[in-house]
Amino acid sequence: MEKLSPFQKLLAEGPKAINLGLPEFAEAMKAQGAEVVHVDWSPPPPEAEDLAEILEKLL
Amino acid sequence: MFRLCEVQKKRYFDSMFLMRVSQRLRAEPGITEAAVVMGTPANIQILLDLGFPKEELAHAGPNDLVVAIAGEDEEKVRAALAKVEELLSGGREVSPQAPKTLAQALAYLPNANIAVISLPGQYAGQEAKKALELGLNVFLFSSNVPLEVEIALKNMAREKGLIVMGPDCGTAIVNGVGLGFANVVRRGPVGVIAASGTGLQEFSSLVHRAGAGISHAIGTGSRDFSDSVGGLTALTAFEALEKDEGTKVIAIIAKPPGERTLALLAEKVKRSPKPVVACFLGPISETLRREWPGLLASTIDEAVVLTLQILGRPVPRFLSVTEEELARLALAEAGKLSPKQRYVRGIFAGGTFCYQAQLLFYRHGIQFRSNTPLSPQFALANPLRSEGHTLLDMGDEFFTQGRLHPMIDPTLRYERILAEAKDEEVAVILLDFVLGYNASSDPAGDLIPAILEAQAQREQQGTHLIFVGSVCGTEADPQNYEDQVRRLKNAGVLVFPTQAQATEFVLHLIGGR
Repeated sequence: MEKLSPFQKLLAEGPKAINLGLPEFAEAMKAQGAEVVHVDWSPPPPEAEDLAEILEKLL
Repeated sequence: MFRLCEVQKKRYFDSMFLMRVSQRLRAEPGITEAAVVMGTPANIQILLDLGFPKEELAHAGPNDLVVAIAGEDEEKVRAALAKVEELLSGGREVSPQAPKTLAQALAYLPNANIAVISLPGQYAGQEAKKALELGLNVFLFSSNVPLEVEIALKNMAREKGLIVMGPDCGTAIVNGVGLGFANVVRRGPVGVIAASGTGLQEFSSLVHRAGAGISHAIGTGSRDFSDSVGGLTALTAFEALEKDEGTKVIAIIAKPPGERTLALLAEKVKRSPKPVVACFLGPISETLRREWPGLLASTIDEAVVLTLQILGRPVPRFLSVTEEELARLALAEAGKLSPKQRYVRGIFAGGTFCYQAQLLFYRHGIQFRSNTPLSPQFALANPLRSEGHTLLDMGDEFFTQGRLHPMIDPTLRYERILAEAKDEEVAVILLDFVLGYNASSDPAGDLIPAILEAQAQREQQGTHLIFVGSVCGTEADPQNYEDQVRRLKNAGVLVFPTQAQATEFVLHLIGGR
């Protein structure tokens, strides 16, 4: 038998989801019986420009 | 008018959560405008346009929280400001152990197979890339993801046998589970590939109400069928549905594909052992008509009918209403209008509904304007001012900047109904009501007070305003289709079983005017 691709496996098994963003989306998937983990996401660390600003204040 | 701005450094909240906070603040006494947003350049520009002071806003960066409130006087604005913290505290009910990153989340759910991403556009692409690297499929709800990022993500996914649904993917149904804005539909033999969110919702709901069901419904994102993306997601979806044992027929709902993408898809369809129905919403070129090897439907309704016929299922009464029946109904209603009343105003929450309505107007040779026009010649000069027959997509960026989508927040549609009702030349207001997970908990109830108020105003003037609507959803949706229809009918709305029928009815109604 042909091996299933990861996308075909998703269709066959149903979603087991990691949710980034709207917590409502995680709740709705849970309500439908799916396994979901919600990420308490926040933006990446400040960019170089901001770092320069911080350094300037420190020095 | 008193305006106040406050910048809180390095404080992040999700944008949709902040929109809810803003919505609540706007409802405070004496408040005329309120925005609690991240200090991105786009948001800052909106606040400057609203007249908030430049000196305060100049210090805000994309990772800072900006609170901007305008109201009748300082006291009322400060009272609203005092509520902000309380409202914000409702947004962080996350346990301290909650994972902070995708990789950490995988430790909690090692067999995870999909990342559902609805982060702001500027971060979404990066997280989607990480998800693919970790071997996860991606449902990418976020919009404002650059085209080149979309292409790179989709190429990467195809190499790995994964899929990227989106960006700008509103909905999908995977093995019976709805992602994003999805209706509750039974499982069955119909596989769907759709570039449009509300198109997928209408199709899957109608299939369900006709007694059949959906195996999987894959959203591709709005740009996938263009030649710049080349249908990368549609092709992956097609290949998988073709092999999926539960799928007996494949339906495609999208705007007409680019030429190169059409050729790629046509090749797949030609060789497919499974029948394929396509509903390409838009002007159909001769090439498309000639080269498309599957069945072609001109509306979502027709796509459902063709699908049912392929399956050998009876077409239910609600999908076989004839033009004559609609014309007869229209004739009865037209008698209630005064000679001055000539125009239709469509105020849609669903982008595809606005688009499908335009197509039907176009096919009937009736002039119209729209803020999301079928082609530039139909463009509405100012989205805030209707002209003649106007079909509005209230989910378009012009209206949603800093606000929730009208499928969640009815405010702007509510106000627009009242504004259109004041125009004595308006005969009909055409509405859609979209049910399902993550939509408003009561789309009918949100707008019924505006409908009743508009009707009462007109009755006082001795004229009659006709409200026509359709509800996209099923009896299994959290909002319950039948209940929503019943309440709209009680409020005097003429409710049709599909959006195409509602529009056809309106065209008969105004045809001779």
